[in-house]
Amino acid sequence: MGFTLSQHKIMISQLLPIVIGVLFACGCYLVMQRQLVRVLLGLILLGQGANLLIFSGAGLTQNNPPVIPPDALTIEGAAADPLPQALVLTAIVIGFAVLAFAIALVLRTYQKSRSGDINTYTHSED
Amino acid sequence: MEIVFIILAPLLAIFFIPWLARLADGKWIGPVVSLVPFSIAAWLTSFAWQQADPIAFSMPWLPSMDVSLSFLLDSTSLLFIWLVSFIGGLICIYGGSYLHGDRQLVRFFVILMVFMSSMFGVIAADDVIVTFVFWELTSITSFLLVGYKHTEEKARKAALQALLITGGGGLALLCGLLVTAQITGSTRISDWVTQAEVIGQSSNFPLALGLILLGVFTKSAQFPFHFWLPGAMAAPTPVSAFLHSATMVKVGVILLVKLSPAMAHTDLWGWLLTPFGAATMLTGAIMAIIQEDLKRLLAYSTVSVLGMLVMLLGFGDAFSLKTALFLVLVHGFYKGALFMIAGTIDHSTGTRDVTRLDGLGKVMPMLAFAAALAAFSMSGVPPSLGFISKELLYEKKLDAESARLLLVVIGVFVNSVGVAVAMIVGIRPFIKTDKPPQHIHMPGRGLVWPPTLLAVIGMVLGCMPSVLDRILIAPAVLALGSDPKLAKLTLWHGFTPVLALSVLTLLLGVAIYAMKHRIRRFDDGMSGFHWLTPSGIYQFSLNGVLSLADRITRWIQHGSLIGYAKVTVGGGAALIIYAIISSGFKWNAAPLYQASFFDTFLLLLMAVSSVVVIFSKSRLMAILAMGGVGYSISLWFVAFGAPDLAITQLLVETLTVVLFSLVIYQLPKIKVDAIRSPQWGVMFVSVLFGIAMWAVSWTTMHDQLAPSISPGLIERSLAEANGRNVVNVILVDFRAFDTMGEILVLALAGLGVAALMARKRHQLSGAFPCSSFNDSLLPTAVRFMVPLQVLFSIYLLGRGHNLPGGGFIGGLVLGSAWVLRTMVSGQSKAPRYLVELSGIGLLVALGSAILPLFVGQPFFTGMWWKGEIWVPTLGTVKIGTPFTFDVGVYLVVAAVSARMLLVLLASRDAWVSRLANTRS
Repeated sequence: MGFTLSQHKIMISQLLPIVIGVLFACGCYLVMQRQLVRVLLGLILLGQGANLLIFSGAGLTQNNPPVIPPDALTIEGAAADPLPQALVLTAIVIGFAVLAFAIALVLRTYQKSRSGDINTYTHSED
Repeated sequence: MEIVFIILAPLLAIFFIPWLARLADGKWIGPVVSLVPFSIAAWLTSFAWQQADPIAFSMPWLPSMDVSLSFLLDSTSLLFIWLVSFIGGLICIYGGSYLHGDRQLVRFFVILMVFMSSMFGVIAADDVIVTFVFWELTSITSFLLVGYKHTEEKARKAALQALLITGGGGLALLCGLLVTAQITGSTRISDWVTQAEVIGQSSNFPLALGLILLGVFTKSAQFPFHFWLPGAMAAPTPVSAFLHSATMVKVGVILLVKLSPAMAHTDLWGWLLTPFGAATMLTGAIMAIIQEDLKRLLAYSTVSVLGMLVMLLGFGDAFSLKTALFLVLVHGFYKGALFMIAGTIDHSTGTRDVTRLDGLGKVMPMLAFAAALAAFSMSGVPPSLGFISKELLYEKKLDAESARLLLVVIGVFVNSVGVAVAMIVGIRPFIKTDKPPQHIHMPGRGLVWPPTLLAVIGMVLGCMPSVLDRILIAPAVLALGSDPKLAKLTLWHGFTPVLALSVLTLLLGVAIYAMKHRIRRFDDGMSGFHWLTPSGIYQFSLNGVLSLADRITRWIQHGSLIGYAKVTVGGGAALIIYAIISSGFKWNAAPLYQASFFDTFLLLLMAVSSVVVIFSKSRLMAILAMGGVGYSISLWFVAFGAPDLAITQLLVETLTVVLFSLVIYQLPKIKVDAIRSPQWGVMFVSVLFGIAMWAVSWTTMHDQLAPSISPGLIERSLAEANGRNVVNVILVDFRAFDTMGEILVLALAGLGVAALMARKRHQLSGAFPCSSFNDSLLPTAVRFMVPLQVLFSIYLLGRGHNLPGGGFIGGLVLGSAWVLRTMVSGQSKAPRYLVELSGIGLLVALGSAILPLFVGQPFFTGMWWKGEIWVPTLGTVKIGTPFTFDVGVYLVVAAVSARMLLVLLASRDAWVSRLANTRS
């Protein structure tokens, strides 16, 4: 059931690293912006890229979750690696908390200084 | 062991100093503290009298580097420790009186004691690393004492100058000692002595000696590093008398003495020490005459004597060695006395200017007597100790074969200057009576007796030099492997050329004294050449270094956050790429996992959406594109066997969009011009970073760097943790400690958001139902939905251990239920005590972790209740601490996620109402 494009099979191991690279590059570009809103967006993209990287780092297995079926003592055959899943699961939730914190920070800064441009923040106490 | 106690004794005394300073207004602090060094001196005297065997102490310190805390109390170190402790005792008494009433008296005594301890350490240390440590300690304590009056800029500058020069020299010394240790394979000086031949023949010896001498010359104020010593006169006079004449500046000389058995036999030793010593001797002498400040005058004459000592040690024979040891002792006595006298004069008259001091003898006869004795000793008038040392000196110089005449001339000149200095300091202020003294504040006993005692002892010992010789000097020379009988310490040598030279010196000295005004005038004419002097060069290079540092700092610390990020990220990316390429990047690894149409579509959607985020001009567009990335990823998780992740990602993505939509219009707008004109630098760094992460991903996908632990986890999941959902088992059992840390971070982030958005209560409590939900359909639907959501979240929590679900997912569902309810019904219906709830959640989780401790199991051991309970829709469920831990996670996640959104919701509602108010 391979999907082909002009006689060439597309392989995940070739396409996925490129997508991860794109996510990181876009996130990085946005984080290094002067406008805080874009910095926030960049933060999310970096998190997504990292989650994807960790998830795929241990290898991919289609469709078989690491859940032991009823009436079995262990998983027979190939199953997805549970360890990166556990790592990524907490990372997703913490990423959300950090994002909320960052949004609150940006909001507060903007309310105080009426500017969303980091280059205008020259004093630590306003 | 005794030697360790000697080194530690001053440090123990520190604990009593604050108490003594309060007692009787600090009157007794000097005399009481002085008991410590005095008793050490007394013990050492009896030790020397009995001619006891040397005491060695050794304790491993850095065994892997073969460095040990080894100390040796032999006759040589005894001589110096005795000198330090005896003069130190007098200085304690003197300093207590001198600084009486000073608010920093405690600080003074504490540093003084630390200094004394480090002096003992550097003298007695046998290991060179230990020597270095104590050596630097003396530099640091000297820095603190020179800068004692830290409110004065002059004192701070002088202290820094002394520290930079002696500290810098100390580093050179360390290198030199390490090179020598490399040659000999040992860090013990006692081992070096036995390998003198090996050291001398090594091709690295010139390097080692050069570095060691750099340290010695800076410490002992040799030309061209001598100028820090007169600067250090900014210290209180007791410090100058103790550190900068009698003890610390001699540390370099003492190290030379200790090293001389190992190195003095080489030609290089003499070739380096003699000329530098002679140059220092001359410089010190010339500079001394032109000084008008008593202390600077004494400082330069100290420089001169230090030069003399180095020169003597450069000769490298037993006679010179003995003369040098004797001179150290003698100089400590008379110079210590003269410094204290100068300090007393300063203390009582308020000036140290020699041209303004007159006729003090009538007012202070005792001090005049002491001054005269010390001055006689310094000028070498018999029967003083100074006379004997001078005789020895001349005898040596007449004996020296090379450059004989030149050395004699220099020696006579330098000593004549010594005579003149002695007259200026010790005689003139007391006798001349052009202008009778005014406003004299009579010095107390503590300011008069210590110098007098020192001067008198100097004179008494001068009358019976053989005692000194037998007890202290001769054993020290012997311990250094030389024959002490070559030089005889006697008062009367007979009518020899040496005696003639002594007389000549005295006459010349008087002549120089008479001419001193003319010499000073000549010096004033030379002041334009200051920049040529070592001190001027030091200033110039110091300023150069500072301005260079300033420029570099401005260049690196430019203050632009983006600039910093560019360097950090770019550098990090370059390092990652380098590491991956150098460890063998597999370009042609066999491709894995054939992609289906769906997979390809998801991946392309992620990539395109993230690029869209960059180029979106509106905030809403950017957030929608963000959502595109997030939802694609959750579908990706579905496709690759991670239902837990997919659900979590889906929930979080939804909450993120809600979060953004709450605050979106309060956030600043995206400026279009920033999108139209891309920043090429940032773009380059980002692309580099993207390539680095591509390479990382490529490598991890194709390479298994270490065997996976997951099969083991799957194997043990049901058997040991009673769970079928391995992801959840890892979270709440196998790696529960991680999860504990993570929910703690969550709770803290929740507190942080609440604190950042904290508002006054009346603003929070206002009920602002969201205007867009004002139709009746949604509130009605929500009223039925929220209880269902709550039930569903509990269901998810309960089944999590065996099926996708769990505390994180259940918590997110519960949190969003609360948020939905508040959005529709207004702030008045908002759940309260969420902060408390997250605290309770943490406690529940922590309790589950601690519980096993009570039955003697390790922290976080999973404990299961034997029975099973039946729950509707879930079937039979086992209950254990991992489950209660998951309940804690559930509570924390629910409370924190709801709290965050609710706080931002409140902020939005306040904003909306403000907007409405301004419009109406």
